[in-house]
Amino acid sequence: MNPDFNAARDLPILVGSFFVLTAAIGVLRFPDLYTRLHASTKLVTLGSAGIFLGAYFEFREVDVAARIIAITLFQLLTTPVGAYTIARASYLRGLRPMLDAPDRDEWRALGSVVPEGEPAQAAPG
Amino acid sequence: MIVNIALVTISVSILLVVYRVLRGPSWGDRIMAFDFLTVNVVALIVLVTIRNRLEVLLDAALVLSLLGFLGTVALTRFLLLGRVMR
Repeated sequence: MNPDFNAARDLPILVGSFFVLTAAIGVLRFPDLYTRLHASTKLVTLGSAGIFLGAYFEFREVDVAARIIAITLFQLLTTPVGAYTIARASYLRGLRPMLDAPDRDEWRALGSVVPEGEPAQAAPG
Repeated sequence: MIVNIALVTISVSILLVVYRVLRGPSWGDRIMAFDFLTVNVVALIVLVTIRNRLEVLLDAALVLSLLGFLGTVALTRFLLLGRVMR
């Protein structure tokens, strides 16, 4: 067996990089902004968390563990918030989903979706 | 070594996503792909940390993930409101 191989370090890295590649293919191939957001957000949190776990098992020290926990927690907190703001801005600028179903669109059922005092500019693209 | 395979995989995914940044039909696509790119670069920095045993680079990864989120929020605010701050 290869002495370089360390299962606790290498298996999470392998799984994580596989998930990141899957997310990139999803970002490239999905038909719609909202489905692409789904691919990038969900898979990247899992994939990069795997890579960070592998980085911890490489070093097994307290200061490295502190930084890795900080990075992981920060990404787990901020990636959904970023995806939410992107989806909200795109929706409010008038980008409809590819499968446009008005009876399932709860924001459109409310009537005015533009926040108060903010102009709804017609968006090119 | 597995870390080299992971480095090549992450680099390929960065290349695939750069296509989405350049092409992306709407500006939301470009911002989303740029956010994805930042996360990928953070993962790449962590992999380089493992490969060369340079623990200092973890601080750079932490700061880059923070700046990536701030950039995403600023770009979406600019997209929606036409300004970043009052």
